Amino acid sequence: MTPLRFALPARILHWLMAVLILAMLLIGAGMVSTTSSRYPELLAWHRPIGIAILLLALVRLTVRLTRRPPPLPADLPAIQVAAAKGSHYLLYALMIGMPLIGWAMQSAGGYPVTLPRPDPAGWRLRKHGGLDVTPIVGGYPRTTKRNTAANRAYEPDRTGELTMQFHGPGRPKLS
Amino acid sequence: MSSPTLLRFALIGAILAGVALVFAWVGGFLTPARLSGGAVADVMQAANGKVYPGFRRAHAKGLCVAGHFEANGAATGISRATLFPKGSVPVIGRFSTGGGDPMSADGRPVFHALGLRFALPHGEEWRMAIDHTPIFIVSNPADFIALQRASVPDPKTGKPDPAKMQAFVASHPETAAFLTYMKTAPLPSSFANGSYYSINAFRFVDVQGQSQAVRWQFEPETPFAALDPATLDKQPRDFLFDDLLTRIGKGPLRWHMIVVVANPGDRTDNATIRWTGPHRQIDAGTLVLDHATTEERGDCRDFNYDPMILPKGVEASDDPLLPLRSAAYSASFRRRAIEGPRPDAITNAQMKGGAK
Repeated sequence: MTPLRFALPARILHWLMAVLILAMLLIGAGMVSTTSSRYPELLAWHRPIGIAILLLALVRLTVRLTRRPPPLPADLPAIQVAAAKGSHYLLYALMIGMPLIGWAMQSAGGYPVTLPRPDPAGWRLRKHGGLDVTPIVGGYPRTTKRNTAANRAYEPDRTGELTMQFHGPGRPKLS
Repeated sequence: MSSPTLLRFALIGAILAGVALVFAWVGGFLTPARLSGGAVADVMQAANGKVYPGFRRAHAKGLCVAGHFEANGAATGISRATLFPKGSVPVIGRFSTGGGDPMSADGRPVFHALGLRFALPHGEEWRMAIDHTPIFIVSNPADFIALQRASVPDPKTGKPDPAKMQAFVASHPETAAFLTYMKTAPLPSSFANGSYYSINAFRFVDVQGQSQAVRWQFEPETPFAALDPATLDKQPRDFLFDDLLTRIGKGPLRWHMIVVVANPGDRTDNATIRWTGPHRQIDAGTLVLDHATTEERGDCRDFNYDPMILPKGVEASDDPLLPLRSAAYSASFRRRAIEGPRPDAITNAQMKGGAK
């Protein structure tokens, strides 16, 4: 049976993410335009919202694949059908791709990024020794040898909050 | 077209124009005076006379070091930062001279700096970019840009216009004071025997959430010796870096982290003003550097020593130079990451030495 409207989770995700993505675009544009005290403030918002968009995009993808959306109007011209479908794919690619690019930039610079508690998702991730997306996103073109001393310091957090290991592939140990 | 259709198009156009306007406003296109990190990197490139691709826009010439910090526990009362409880954390760092030319001779420019990255427990980090002068040359972003503009080389002579520099210094007594300091204060003869200062004020926050303003400095165990300015030009190109490699090859170098707690009335928003008179000082522990190698082989090059990367228990003060440094370092980092790293003067010299 063909649904007449989008499923409730899809509608909630749509509007929530619309607000977040628009905010993110404005925060990003503002962030790179200033050296005032707004810069660290905007940067502090940019990172967690980026990760939130990534996680929500993955939930959204699951919802999209499991809950059928209503069909496009039957009388829609073929070119508009192609545009609707194409932009749909592009939107999903960007919602997942853009946060990963941002994450890769953090990874390349070895920037520490921590998520605030409470963070139930973190408990599961911590058990598996932290979350490291470097293999997924490829990291930046740095050498692949490891700095053991520096990496030891990136042991996953066992006492407080989830630490996402945003560090890059590491550099050779100093000799 | 019928008028309702026109009205719809007008509405769509108005919404798009509104969004574009908000973007232009947020992005600073309506306020050309607003200073971005990229604009700071631009003016540094201009002052350098050219772009050195793959290198930092300032402090381009450097050497990697590594070691650890041995905290003695004395600073735990004023900050809950995980650097301070008795124990040891790994440190990497980068000694550098000022200026944007990675092939410059160590004699000039003679500004020494140290970038540090403390890898703290729980994935936290504390990064510092500390200099051998207790004060900075300007107090705010606008002056920093104006000073850099005054030192942009004249295309005809290849040198900055002295009149522009004089005009800037004449209207900025704090810059005059800094230049006097650079001329009169003895310069350390080595990276190893100099003190390194936090430049900006920060705030330490204790476990109760009480916060107070601090500065800090790393004071060397190696006895101070002054560089003879008269011999500067006769020294080999990499003499400061060669000296550091030799010294660390012989044994670890040590500095004490001395935290200086602000007195009531001390300015925290102006890095050109020294805190004078007696201050409470806390020796928080010892920085031990026992490895040194070139940027090419070391682990320090691909980090941005952004002084606003701080652990819990340490916060930025109201010094406007701090966000300036953070945004500008980030712009410089993005540029050199895109350009890709290249071997610097010391790497080339070491490779040549190895081939002999």
